[in-house]
Amino acid sequence: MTENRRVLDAKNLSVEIEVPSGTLHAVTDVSLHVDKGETLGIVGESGCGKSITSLAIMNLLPSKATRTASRLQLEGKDLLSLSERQFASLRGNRLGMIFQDPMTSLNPVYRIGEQLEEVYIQHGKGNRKEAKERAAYLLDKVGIIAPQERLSQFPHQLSGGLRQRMMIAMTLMCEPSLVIADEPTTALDVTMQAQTLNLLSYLQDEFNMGLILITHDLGVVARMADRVLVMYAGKAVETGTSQEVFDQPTHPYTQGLIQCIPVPGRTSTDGRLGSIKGMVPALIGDLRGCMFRNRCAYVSEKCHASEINFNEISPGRGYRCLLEESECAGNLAGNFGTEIVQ
Amino acid sequence: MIKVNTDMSPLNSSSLRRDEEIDEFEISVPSPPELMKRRAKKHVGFILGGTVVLLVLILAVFAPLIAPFDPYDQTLTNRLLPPIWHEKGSWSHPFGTDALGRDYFSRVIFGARISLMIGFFAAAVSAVVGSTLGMIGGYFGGKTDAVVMYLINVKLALPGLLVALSLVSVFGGSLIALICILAFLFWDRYAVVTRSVTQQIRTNDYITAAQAVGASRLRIIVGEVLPNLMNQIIVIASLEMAVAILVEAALSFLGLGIQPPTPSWGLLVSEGRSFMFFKPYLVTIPGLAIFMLVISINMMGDGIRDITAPEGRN
Amino acid sequence: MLNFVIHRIYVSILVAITVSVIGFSLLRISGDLAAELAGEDASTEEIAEVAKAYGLDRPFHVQYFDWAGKALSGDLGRSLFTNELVVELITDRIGVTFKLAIYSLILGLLLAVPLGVLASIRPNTWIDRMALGLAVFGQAIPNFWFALIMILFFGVTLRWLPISGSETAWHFVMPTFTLGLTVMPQFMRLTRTGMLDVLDSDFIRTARAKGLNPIRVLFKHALRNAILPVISLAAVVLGFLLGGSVIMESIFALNGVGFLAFESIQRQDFPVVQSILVLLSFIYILLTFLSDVINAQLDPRIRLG
Repeated sequence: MTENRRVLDAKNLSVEIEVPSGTLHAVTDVSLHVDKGETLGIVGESGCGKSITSLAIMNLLPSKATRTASRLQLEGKDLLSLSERQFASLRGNRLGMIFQDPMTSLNPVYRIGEQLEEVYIQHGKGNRKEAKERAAYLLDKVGIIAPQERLSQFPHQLSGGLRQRMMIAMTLMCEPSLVIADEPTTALDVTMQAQTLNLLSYLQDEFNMGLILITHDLGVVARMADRVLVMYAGKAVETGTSQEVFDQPTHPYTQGLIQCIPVPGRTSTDGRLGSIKGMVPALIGDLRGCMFRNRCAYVSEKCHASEINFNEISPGRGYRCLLEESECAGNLAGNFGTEIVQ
Repeated sequence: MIKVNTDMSPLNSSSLRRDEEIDEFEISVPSPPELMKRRAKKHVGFILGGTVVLLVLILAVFAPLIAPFDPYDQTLTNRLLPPIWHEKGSWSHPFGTDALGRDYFSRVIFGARISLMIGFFAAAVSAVVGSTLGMIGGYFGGKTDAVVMYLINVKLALPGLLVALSLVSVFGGSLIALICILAFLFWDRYAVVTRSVTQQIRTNDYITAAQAVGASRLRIIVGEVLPNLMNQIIVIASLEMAVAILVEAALSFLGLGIQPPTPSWGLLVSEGRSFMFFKPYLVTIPGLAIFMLVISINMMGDGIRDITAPEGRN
Repeated sequence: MLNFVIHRIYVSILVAITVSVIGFSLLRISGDLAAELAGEDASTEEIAEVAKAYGLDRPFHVQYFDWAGKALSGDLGRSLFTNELVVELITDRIGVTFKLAIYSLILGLLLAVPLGVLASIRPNTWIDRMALGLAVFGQAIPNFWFALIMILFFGVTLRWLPISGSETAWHFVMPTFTLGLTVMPQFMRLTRTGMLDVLDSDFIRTARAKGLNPIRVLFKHALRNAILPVISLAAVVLGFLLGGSVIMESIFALNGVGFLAFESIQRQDFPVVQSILVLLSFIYILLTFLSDVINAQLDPRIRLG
């Protein structure tokens, strides 16, 4: 039963990139899945590998990168054995991607209508006339007024927010079952952010697609995501439903992240803002042990050398740490209470 | 509501104990001059080109010592002797002799002097003039820039070769005249690039910082803008030097450049042209010399660009 | 767009006027054109006579405005050497120069653009190195020398091609090839660099993410953006070819404007020289103006502001 609801299933996804100084382990052993109508939020700081993960799923990695996975399936179909050509027929069609910066992500010399229509026609969904109709329909759905006029305009004639909406419409032209949105609101100002997120939410309900939302902003995740995957240094360090991850963060990194969020009324005005000291290590070369050890409060001898496996507490819920779950919860209780007071 | 107690965060205080461990993840990166030296050693084009240029330079500097004969020495009884690779050739004249009995090998060697001198000084003078104009226009903007752009546009509109020919007919084909004329042909290339880069740099914060500290404009231009341009200027200069050599050769070939009997390679080609069908070497040798020198300078120039700014290369 | 065009016209006119003054005065810089024309042993009276005969005794600005006024109405004077009308001399020959320039430009582009595109999609492979090698070769070779070598080989040894004159299209093969080879490198590099930059850009990533046919992505999306600077350069190069054809014309005995200018310079035939200089400059100004307009037209960001 879960099988035909499952849009994307990825297990042990890894990406390595050859760089002059060695091998960069951009992504190591990440497993994730997305169901129809579900939003998975991938959260982590810059450089943690979340974008590369999405490029790996789309087969858009740079040429020097190698992808390995024990399983990668889209709607039950295996993606690992596909040639680039076969993949190309899926991209824009069964899975789509929305990029961060709508200004540079659109071709400046072609009209908006043309850029929307070409993906429809490319995948054989219909002729030019039908493509135009679909384009106008979607522009309307994403809240752009006077869609017919917009079709003949150029990208630079639209504001940032409208461009992003246009990108969203473009991604939806062929009704993909999975949409990956890579930092869709980062390049927008705050008011546009809220509108764009609402729009994505609405569209997901309308079209019942799976949505992967990649962001570094915990607020966005808390708002939009049903389930969360926290990444650090190329690895998945915690997964769970939004509620689980925010209320009971298990991994020390997640705890640190949540704890850094100032809470109005709670955080004392003359106190210090939380932060996690230290920096993300470089991921080149032979990597052993836990990548968080130089910033973790609970580090011990074992964290340096051993292989830190992902502990699955229950399906869809897990973390990557040597500590026991109870210990983690204990760390939590000592330092911030988890009572939800209405 | 979630109670948060940031003051007693274990993550903040304990990390103070972990300073020594933060270092274990560091990768050491070599300094920029170090990096450049490494790249230079590995760059085939730079080494190859640089070696040839160096050889030519040595030949040119020590020409009187290396050349077996005086290049102006005519021995009319020895006209058009064949070079060493013909049956009748001899080592006394490895490249044979030309129509006036002058040793060809010596003439070719002395020709290197002309090419290098003209190439170098033309490139240098045009670099100074062009870069200065470009920097001034780019830095001050407004009317000053409009004037600079106007000058550049006027220069670009003029048909260079014909202007050069006209100027040579007026001022003669002496070394100095040619250097100045060629410099006049090339300064715009520098001006365009330095102006554009200066405009970009102009808006950088370190310029504003220097102004805030009260540095004079001259000081800013020379101290902050110029160092950033040097790499590009040097790359352009090396490439323009090669072009200068080619243009000088063309002018001399046409007869409106270096005047005989001074041995410019272009002139040698022109002198050899009448005998081209029977004695092709009189044409091929000096042409090859030009080609080798120019290609080496180009390789060196490309190499310099790759070494100093690999991001600029694709 | 309109503002842009007006501004460009204004600048062009200013430059054109300046250039006409420069072209007019180039041969007079030495100070005494009359003395040059009169010859080495001329006496002062003879020089004065020459000066009077050619109007060289008048003040500079009078000479200039007189000439400019006449030029605007189509009277460019007469050649000192052959006494023919300068206008006729030029119109007889400009066709040859134009043909040579255009053929060479087209050949250069036909070689350069495909090579540049190929090199950009396979960087650092043998095809890239070959393209760059060819570019380096083309930039280093002295064009007059290459022309002579070609004459030796194709004209004399193999006897495939005619080596002088401009009667048939075959006469243009060697000079076109020589010039084409020398202009090809800049276009190839520009195409290659432009393509490499564009292929790296975000909107190409989007195009790939849409699953578009890679050929389509390459030509419709990438090349369309990368070709803009090539078009600008083409106009400039055409202007340069028109002005620099003197070498090819003299080697291959092509009766073009460049060769006429060269002969006239040697003879101090100043009416011809100044007319050709100014004419070629004007053509260049027109070409760059057109190229700016085409560029603006092709790039909607400029066209629609």
